This record gives sequence, structure tokens and C-alpha cells, in this order.
Amino acid sequence: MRLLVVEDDRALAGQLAAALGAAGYAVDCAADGEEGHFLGDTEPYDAVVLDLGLPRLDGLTVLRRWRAGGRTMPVLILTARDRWHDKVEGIDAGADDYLAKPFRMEELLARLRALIRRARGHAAPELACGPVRLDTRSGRVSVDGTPVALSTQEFRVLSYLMHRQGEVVSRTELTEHIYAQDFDRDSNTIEVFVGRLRRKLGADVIETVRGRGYRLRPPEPAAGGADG
Amino acid sequence: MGESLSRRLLLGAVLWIAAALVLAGFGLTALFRQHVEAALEARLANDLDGLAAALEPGDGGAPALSRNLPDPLYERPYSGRYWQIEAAPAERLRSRSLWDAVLALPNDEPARGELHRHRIAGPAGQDLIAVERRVDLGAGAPVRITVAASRAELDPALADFARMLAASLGLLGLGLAGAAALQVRVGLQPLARLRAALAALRAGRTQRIEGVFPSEVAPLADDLNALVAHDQALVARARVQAADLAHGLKTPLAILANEAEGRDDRLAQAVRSQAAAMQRHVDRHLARARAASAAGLPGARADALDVARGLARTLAKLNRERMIAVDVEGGPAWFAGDREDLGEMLGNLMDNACKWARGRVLVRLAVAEGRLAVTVDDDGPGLAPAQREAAFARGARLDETVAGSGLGLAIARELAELYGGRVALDGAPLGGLRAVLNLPAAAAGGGA
Repeated sequence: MRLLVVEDDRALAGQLAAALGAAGYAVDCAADGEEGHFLGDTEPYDAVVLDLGLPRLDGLTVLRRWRAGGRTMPVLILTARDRWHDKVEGIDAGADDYLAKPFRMEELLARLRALIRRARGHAAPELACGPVRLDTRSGRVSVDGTPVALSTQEFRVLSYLMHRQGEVVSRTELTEHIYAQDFDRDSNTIEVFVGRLRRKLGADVIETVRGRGYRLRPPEPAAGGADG
Repeated sequence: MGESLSRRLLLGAVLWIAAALVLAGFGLTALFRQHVEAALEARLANDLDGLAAALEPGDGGAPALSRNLPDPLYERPYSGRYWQIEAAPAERLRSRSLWDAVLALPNDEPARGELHRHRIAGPAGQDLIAVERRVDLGAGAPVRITVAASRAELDPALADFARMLAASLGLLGLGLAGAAALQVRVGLQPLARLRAALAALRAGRTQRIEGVFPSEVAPLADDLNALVAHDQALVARARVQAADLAHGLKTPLAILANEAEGRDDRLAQAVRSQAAAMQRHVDRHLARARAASAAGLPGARADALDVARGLARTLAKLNRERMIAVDVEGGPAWFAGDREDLGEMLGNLMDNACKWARGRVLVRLAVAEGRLAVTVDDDGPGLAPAQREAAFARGARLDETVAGSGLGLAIARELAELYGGRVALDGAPLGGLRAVLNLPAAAAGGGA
């Protein structure tokens, strides 16, 4: 999962990037509205954390432009403007959630998880695919109830496929969603991560669709978003 | 209020009209008296000429009348009309009406042919007007011929005149007073319009004093508008400053709190608790400072239905994980105050309801007798009557498991009180808590 953080305060942006990175997300940061708008407009983010009081371009304007341009990624507004008037304006501009500063990092993480999950059509916080379970709250993965330890990149690949299970995901798309923008990308490494995941979770969990990409396929009978 | 301008103007007009009419009455009466006295004197002079023509030197030099005056009044005793001819101090001819009285003439010596007027006392206490002339009969000393009439003769005519004059002057006075009243009314109409425009401004129907006023009042209206605009600008500036302050403080607070998170030494604990305390202060005082500057600002008006619908939309989206239905019922309703402040009061109450609701929050707006009443019901667990007042206490959170600063109800109540309103808690028909927000309403319609 790849996130965009648009925040002009360097210290806070640093804290956010660190906390989100620790939670398993690939994070891009933008320090002003114009850069934020450009990134959100061109890169496939799974969610955006957007400040409102931004230099160069106001956060609400950024959001409205994204929505007018057909960008549908979930957006969480994180701002010091905590009047209900501002919240109504933010939600009406197309935000999916609104969190006022100061905030608890845990709460921000919980809300982002819920946003990403909902955007992919999952109702429960725990994603399941056959014997494999991924708890989005804790980031724990288990197979048949046995915990499995995954590296950050492995977790990102699995998490993205779990959120999109049943669909074919190309290698390029996977690359875009597990690496931050300034990371030196190499789509060949995806094969390495998929291979390691197959070893840890079972060979038939991730299916290769020749020439198109990968698919996480639940065994028959399909067990969609069952919860624990 | 004290003194009324129109009463003052009217009273002044009535006073000068009355004074002018009384003065005119006296003047006209005096003129008329002069006129009738002159007419009487002319008649008396005429009679005197008749007497002089009929006078002949009689036997022994004493004058005698060849014929009497034709007017019978000179014959009837004490009739008021008299004549007297005096040749020598003891030789007098007198009209029969004088009976045995003598006209006491002042001792003067008018030149020959000159007509003298006198006011003298006559018989029976009559007040007489007399005309006198010296006539030479050729032989001996000139004779003094006097003809007199009682002033009482003029009284009926004078009284008639006075009555008519009083009646017509009275009518004139009434007419003038009516005209003055009309003039005051018409003249002060711009002030009445100004008052109506001011009332519209205060009620929030307009944002400024509307209308065209005459040049005497226009500067006042312009000054008032400038004052209102100045106030509005002040409030706008205060809001911007408050927002800047909020932004300036809250981001550092967030950074501090985040740094302290996940650590459990004494420094981290102190930072956490102090950051939380600072946040509460900032929230509370910013809300108050902003509302205090806006409450009582004339011309403020907010569409309560629109605000409630916006909040319902927002809260439903923010709580969609819990599938809370937030419904708004009621017709158009206007709050006499700032839109953002209404959003703050209603938002806090509705947010509180959403936190506790199981699945439904119902907001109902009603306007009655100049008050706007908004009820916010939820279907949550509710509060026992004894706990309701405690829920308003500063920072109170009756259940620590539900997120929130616990300031919502307290802020809503404080803001409402700044606007002369209140917030009360009750049981809701849905089963949970009912919050009733009572605020001054603004008139519907007019410019928004």
C-alpha cells in the first residue's frame, strides 16, 4: 500500500512518514499544495493524508481538483481547522475522513486502514483468503492460525494482493503500490518477493497469470471477507 | 427613549400657533373697536353739524334752537345720546335725554371750527364719547356745542365681532395644528424608515441599512453602515487571527504529543498530559473568543436547515463504518447569529449523538415566537436524569471508551449562552438522549 502525505510542517511530515512506514506503508511526502496535487494526480496512491493550510495551493482546492479530474483514492484531511464548518466543507469537497490536530497517531493509522479497506470493498478489518489471514490493525499474517513473519516488502505485496483478491494485478501496478516515488524501482524484484511469499504461505496461494501478472485466488468454495 | 422628537415638534407648533392667534385676536379686536368708534364719532359730528345749523341767536343774545335733532334717542332720558350747547357758564341748552344732568366737559379751548374728542363720565355712570366744537354765532362769545354717545352702544357689535373672531380663529388654529401634525409626520418619515431599516438589520433580514434617505439623514445611515461594515471586518479579522493561532499552536502540539507517544518515562508522560491540557485550553478559548466577537453583531443570519443538513451529511460519512442514519426534519429555519457558530453548537450536539447512537440520529428544527429550537435525538443508551447536568461539566467524559475530548456539550452550551440561548438534555423518544438547543431565530425571507 502506497500513501501520499501532503503536509507543510517538516517535523510533522517526518513523524507521519516514520509512523506510516513502520506500519508497512510506502510513503511519499509533498510539502506544498502544488506538488501534492501533481503527485496525487499522476501516481496511483491507495490513500492520501492531506493538510488544508498549505503553501502555494490550498488543501481544499487540491482535493476539489483531484475529484474534478476523476481521482477517487480515499483522502483523509488532517488539519488544525477543527470547526464543524470546516469539516462540512472538507467532506463536501470530497474527503473521506477528517481528523483534527492534535491527533493520536494510532487513530490516524486506524482510520487510514479503514479507508483503504473500504475503498477496496472489504467490510471487516481482517482480510482472509483461504488459510491465509491478514489483520490490517496489527499487520499480523497467519496461515491456518500459525503466525508468519514477513519482511516489509513481502508484507506490502501480500497486503496489496489481499485487498485486490480475485483480480489480476500486473507487476507494474504492484511496483507502483509498494515503492515510494524516490525509490529505485526494479520490477524484477517483485518476482523475488512473490517467490518468498509462496514459500512462506503455500505455493498455490498466489497464482501467476501468464503475461498479465499475479492473482490471489481463494480456494473453492470462495471465502470472501470473512472475519474472525 | 425619553423625549419624542415628533411630540416636541408638534408641541412647539401648537404653542406658536396659539400665541399667534391670541395676538391676532387682540389686534383685530382693537382695530375693530377703533373702526366702530370712528364711525360713531362721524355720526356724532354729523349730529353736531345739524345742531349748529339749527342754532340761532335768540332773545337777549341767548342762543336758541330753531328745530330739534330728528333722532328720538336725544329725547329719551338717559338714553345714552346727549347734546349740550353752552354759551356762557350759566347759559346752557341741553338735550331732553340729559334730564337734569350736565355734561362735565374738560376746560379746554379748541380753536374755532376744530373738532375735539373727549371721553367723559355721563349721567347714570355712563362712559361717553363726546365731540365738541366752538361755533361763532356772530354776536357775543362763541358757543360750545357737544354731542355725546354712550360707549355701551358699541358693545353688541363688539361682542358679535369677538364671538365670530373667536370661532374663526379657533377653526384656523385647529387647521394649522392639523397641518403641523401632518408636516411633522411627513418630515420625520425618513427617520421612521431609518428605524425600520435598523430593525431589519438587527433582525438579520438585511446586512446593511437599505434605502435612499434625504441629505440630512443620509450621513447618519452611511455612518451606521460604515460602523456595521467596520464591526464585520473586525470580526472577520478576529476569526482569521483565531484560525492562524489555532494552526500555529495545533501542529506543534501534534508533534509534541506524537513524540511522547509510545514512551513511558516521566518526560513523555508530562508532555502528553500538558499537550492535552493545552489543547483543551486552545479549543475552549478559541471557540469562545470567536463567538464572543460575533454574538450581537447586527445583520448576522444563518440558514439553520442548511447547516443541519451539511452536518448530517458529514457525520453520516464520518460514521459510515457504524452505519448511523442521520436525518434532518423541519422546514426553513433561520438563526440570528453567525453560521459557523451555529455549526459549532449543532455539530457538537450531533457529533455527541452519533457517538452514542446505535443506528439513528434525528434532528428536528422548529421556529416559534422568535426562537429557534433544534432537538437532537439518538437511539443510544441515554443518560439518567441525575447524570445529565454532569455531562456539561468541563472536559467531562462519562464513558472513557468513546473517543472525544468531552468538551463538545460544554462548548455548545457556552456558545448558546453567549447568544442568549441554552442547551438542555432530556430523554429521547428513540430511547437515547435528547439535546435541545434553543436560540434566537431570525426572520425568514429577505436578502440572505
